Amino acid sequence: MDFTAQRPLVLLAEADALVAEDLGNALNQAGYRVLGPFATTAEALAAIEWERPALAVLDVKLRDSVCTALGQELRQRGVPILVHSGLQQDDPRTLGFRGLPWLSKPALPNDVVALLAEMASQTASGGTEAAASVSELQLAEERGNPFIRKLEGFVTLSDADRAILERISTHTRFLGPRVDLICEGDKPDGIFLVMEGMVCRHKVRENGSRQIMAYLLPGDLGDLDVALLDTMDHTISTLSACRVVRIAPDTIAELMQHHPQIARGLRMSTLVDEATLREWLLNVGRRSAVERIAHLFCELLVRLQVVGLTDTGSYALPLTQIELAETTGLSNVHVNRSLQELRRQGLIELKSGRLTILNLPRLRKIAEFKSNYLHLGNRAAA
Amino acid sequence: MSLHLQPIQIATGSNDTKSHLVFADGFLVAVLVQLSDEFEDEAGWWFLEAAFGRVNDFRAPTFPNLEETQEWITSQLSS
Repeated sequence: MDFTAQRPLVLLAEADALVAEDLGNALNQAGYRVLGPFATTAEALAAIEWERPALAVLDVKLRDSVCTALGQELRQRGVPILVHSGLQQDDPRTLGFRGLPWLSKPALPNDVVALLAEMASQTASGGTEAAASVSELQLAEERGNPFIRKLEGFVTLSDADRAILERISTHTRFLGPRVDLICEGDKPDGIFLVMEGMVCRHKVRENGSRQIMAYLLPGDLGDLDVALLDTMDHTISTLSACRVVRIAPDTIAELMQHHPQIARGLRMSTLVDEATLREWLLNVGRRSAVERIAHLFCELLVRLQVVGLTDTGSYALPLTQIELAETTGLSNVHVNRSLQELRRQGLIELKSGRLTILNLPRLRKIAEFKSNYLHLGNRAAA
Repeated sequence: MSLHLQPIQIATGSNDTKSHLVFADGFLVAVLVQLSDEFEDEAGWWFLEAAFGRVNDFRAPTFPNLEETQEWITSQLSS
């Protein structure tokens, strides 16, 4: 079980990077998980679309704007807010925050933590919100750890193996959408493991056009041997808000040397990544626009099923049409037309960031989708 | 060099049917299609559906009106 999932999530919106770091550390030490820190209203708003925090610490004046809209969104969702601001309480810009618990910036991190604890205890006695978070917890618990689920698709793991993988994947870091984990030209710094959300590998041309070469879904990780390289030859970025773990190269080396079943699973996973890249190359080189999109949707269904993130043919697809275009080597116009065509044929429904496949046999037929390259044995239900 | 536009209907397999063939000095250089209402932000914009020679651009750009489209085509031809 992932113990981090039981710690309350605190949204931290703070324009000053140093203050953000101090507060973030203090919150972590006090047993909270931190959503952020976010320096802009836009990033914080995007993050709460993905995950509802239990509490929020807001600096009123963020880098892009006074975050009144964020305050409203949080209040609509019933999230208690602690204001931590350098502005005076009678400043007109703080109008949307009057009457809330307030600490003048810079407050001692311990004071922030103490006041939050008080607010959290009041919330917990409220009832409904606690109930909501319990059901979310149960769902996450039933799904289990995606890293373990993924490797168990390839190999049989012992209890000891599972305990090690659980430990490795515990210290997750939350990242907003469209954040670079590592850029082309950077020195590799560990292996990224995705626990929640969607990450991609991509390259950008001088003219700004971008090709996405791979999606990393929950349970997927970067290259095992990336530490052998001096510099990255591509960029890895989040697509949606994500929970990611950075695994040190030494940890991977230890797994590969002393835990044969885990090592076998990781090697299988690498082979599947390569096979998937070949399939994507076939997609962009030899399939029509509608076929490419249909193929991608079929593949995501199978891959997300493995880690328990589908619900009878439906899954979260937190991608824009532009990102779909960048993935499939199509223009935005052709992606739009292909989606319309698939809708017209009654094969898919795509709304509010969720894709529902209404006619899987037909979609598979259009894409000529065979899941053999994912090497799931008899686990591939699609 | 002068551009000449010839209106035409095109079967894109979508609701985007209004189109222009674009000729430069008598040669066909591009096919433009006006985007339908299914494109929320870009409805009514012009899309470079097909283009030839120097006008061909892998990014397949869109333009808010025919004037800007023609300026872009002219600049591509003279590049």
